[in-house]
This record gives sequence, C-alpha cells and structure tokens, in this order.
Amino acid sequence: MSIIERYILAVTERLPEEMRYDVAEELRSNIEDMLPENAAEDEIRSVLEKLGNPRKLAQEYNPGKRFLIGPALYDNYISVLKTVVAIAIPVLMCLSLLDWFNKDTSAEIGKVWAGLFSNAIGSALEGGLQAAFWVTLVFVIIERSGVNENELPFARKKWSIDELPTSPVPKKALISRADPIVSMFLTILFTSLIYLKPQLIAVYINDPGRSEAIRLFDNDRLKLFIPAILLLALFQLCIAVWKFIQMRWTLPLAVANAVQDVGSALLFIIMCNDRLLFNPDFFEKLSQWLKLPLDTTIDKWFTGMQAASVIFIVICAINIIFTLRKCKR
Amino acid sequence: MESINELINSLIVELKRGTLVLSVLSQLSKPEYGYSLAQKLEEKNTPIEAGTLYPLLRRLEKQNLLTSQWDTSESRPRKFYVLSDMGKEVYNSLKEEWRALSRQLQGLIEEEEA
Repeated sequence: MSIIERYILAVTERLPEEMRYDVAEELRSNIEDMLPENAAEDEIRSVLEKLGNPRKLAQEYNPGKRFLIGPALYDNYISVLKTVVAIAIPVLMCLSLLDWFNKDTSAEIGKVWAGLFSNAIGSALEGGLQAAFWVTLVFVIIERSGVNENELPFARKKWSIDELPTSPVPKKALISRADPIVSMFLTILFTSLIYLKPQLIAVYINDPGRSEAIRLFDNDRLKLFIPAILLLALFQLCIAVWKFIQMRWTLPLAVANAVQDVGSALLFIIMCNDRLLFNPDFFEKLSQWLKLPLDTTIDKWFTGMQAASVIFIVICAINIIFTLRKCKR
Repeated sequence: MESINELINSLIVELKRGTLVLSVLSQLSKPEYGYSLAQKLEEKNTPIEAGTLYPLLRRLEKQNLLTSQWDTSESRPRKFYVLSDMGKEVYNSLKEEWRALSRQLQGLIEEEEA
C-alpha cells in the first residue's frame, strides 16, 4: 500500500463509517493536487507532514463529544465508583453465601471449603463488574443529559442570579454523605436480592430432621416485574449519585425524587395486590401455621397487603412534602 | 524570551481562528475545490493550513453554509464547494460584523497611541 493510502486510512479509520468513503476520496484528490506530477517520495512525505498527524486531522473532520465522562464529573465518578463497588461486593458475597448454605448442607468438608471459596470469589467479581457497569452507565446518563450543569433540555432558560447557591447553604437543605450511601446500599441489596437471588426471599422452616424454604414469590410471575424493578433501581441510583455530587437539595432533585417515590409506590401497590405473584405453597403453609382455612388466610393476607400499600403511600407522600420543603428558600 | 514568543504565537493563532470562517466564505461565491481554495488564499496572503482548511469545508457544508458537488469530468475527481443561499446570508452578516469590529478595534488602538 502506498504511503498516501496508508495516511488516508490512518485518518478515515478514526471516522464514523458513513463519512469514511467521501473523506477518503476528497483527501486523496486534495493530496494529489498538492503534489507535482510524478512526485518523488520526499515530496510526498513533505506534503503529508504538512497535513499533520492523522489523529488530529480526523478530530478536525469529526469534532464533538468523544468521551464518556468529562473532566467536570471525573472525580465524582471515581469516588462514586469506589463507594458502589465497596457496597456491591460484600452484598453480593453475602447473598451468594446465604444461597449456597441453603442449597448445600450435606457435602463433605473439603467440598464445602472449595465451594465456599469459589462462590465468594465469583460473587465478588460479579459484584465489582456489575457495580462498575451500572455506575458508569449512570454517569454517562448524567454527562449526556447535562443535569450536572443545570442544562436540562426541558429547562433551557437564561441563567439568573437567583440560581446562585445561597451561602452558607441552609442546614435543612444539606444532604449528609450517609444519605446517598444508605440509599445506594438499599438499592443494591434489594435489586440484587430480587433479580439475582429471588429464592432467598422465603419462609425458612427448621423442623427437626428436615428443613425447607418456601418461596414467597412465584418465580415466573416475578420475572414480569423485573424490567420495571431494574428501571426503577437505575433511576434510584441516578438520584443517589446526583445527591452525592450536589450535597444539597434543589428543586429539580426534589422533583426527581418525588417522581421516584411515586414510581416505587405504584410498583409496590401493583405487586402487593397481584394475586398471582405469591407462591400458592406459601399460602398453604401459612394457613397450616395460622390454623385457618386457606381462603380466609389468603383474604387476610391481601387485606394486610392493602394496609401495607396505604402505609407505603403515606410514607412516600410525607417524604415528598419534606424534601420539597427542604429546597424552599 | 522563548516563552514570550510562544505566548504571542498562541495568541495570534487564537486571534486568527475566529476569522477562518469569514475568509473561507469570502472566497466561495464561485465554486472551488480544496486545493484551489488553498492556493487562492495563499496568493492573497491569508494562507490557511491544509489540515485545517479541508475539514473546515466539510463542517461548513454540514452547517448548510456550503453546498458541494463532485466533478468527475477531468482526469482527477474533485469536490467543489460553493456558498449556499444560507451561506450568502451568513457571510453578509459576518462581513458587517467584521467591519464594525475592526472599526471599533482600530478606534481603541489609535486612541491609545495618540
């Protein structure tokens, strides 16, 4: 391949597919124009050197955001990444060990240790990778949406002096460091429990002689809810990161928080009152235990669930009102 | 001494960067291809480096200030660029702005020298 073709390739391979061909054609004709007839190698060299580093030329051809996370968010990204990885690894390790103890109680001691060890390593790795992936995804969303620069697309208006943060920040508007960390911890715990180890949500019965675990949820029915749960968890994680960065309540943050609360309340109510979500075996066990007929047991259970829904709504409403008041000047 | 020259050079580059678009638009009322435009600018003592000019033409086309057409009638195919209607309008506004700006700056500099 000629030196000119190598140069053109070095430029175009850094460009998006759809503009490669045309740029190559144009660059070739421009380079040939710059050369005299029957150019010698050193003349070609000097022309190409005049065009400069292909990497720089490619950047000129295709400028724009070509980073996932910019310098403004980078430090925050690293500290959130560390925090979330530090939470996710132990949580996943504990869950997988619990699961493993449940399943395997009869193996011989050598196998027990080997299983324990590989389980711990595997889940630590999975926790680290999952955490890194989700945190990166959240930061990419924050970077692209411009939340961090108060440049929300739907709120593009002229900056006014009123947006200047009050100093010192009123105490009630401050968000303590613990708040987003606890919320990340709970999000990770519940999501990984429901998504990765739903079998752990069960009633454990230790009768002498044999022990069994009766799952609370019907697995297939639960799967229907997984996308909504993951979406909500991702949103919750976004808000936690936002809190972590901003460290004080602002109106957009409080509104996002309210949306999150309404979303979780809806999901909670729908799930609690879904008669197919609960495992029939669980109701049977419950009726035996309560010494009530099955029908009555089920009715009582869903009455309880309705009460729980009401309590959940009240808690969400209180939470929404309080956070909105916190960001009022 | 070296660092002063470096600073001056980087400031000059910055000063010129804003004028690049105006110089390119000013020469494109008739179609030109990359190299012919570079030659034309060089003859008029306002050279733009090839590595800056060629990508700039594409970007201006993407902003709808220029339209382009491949000419394959000669031995070597060439991509010709020319001002679009929008490009003409933008060029006229920029031209006015430039005149005002240079008058204002001239005023500032002369006042200071007097």
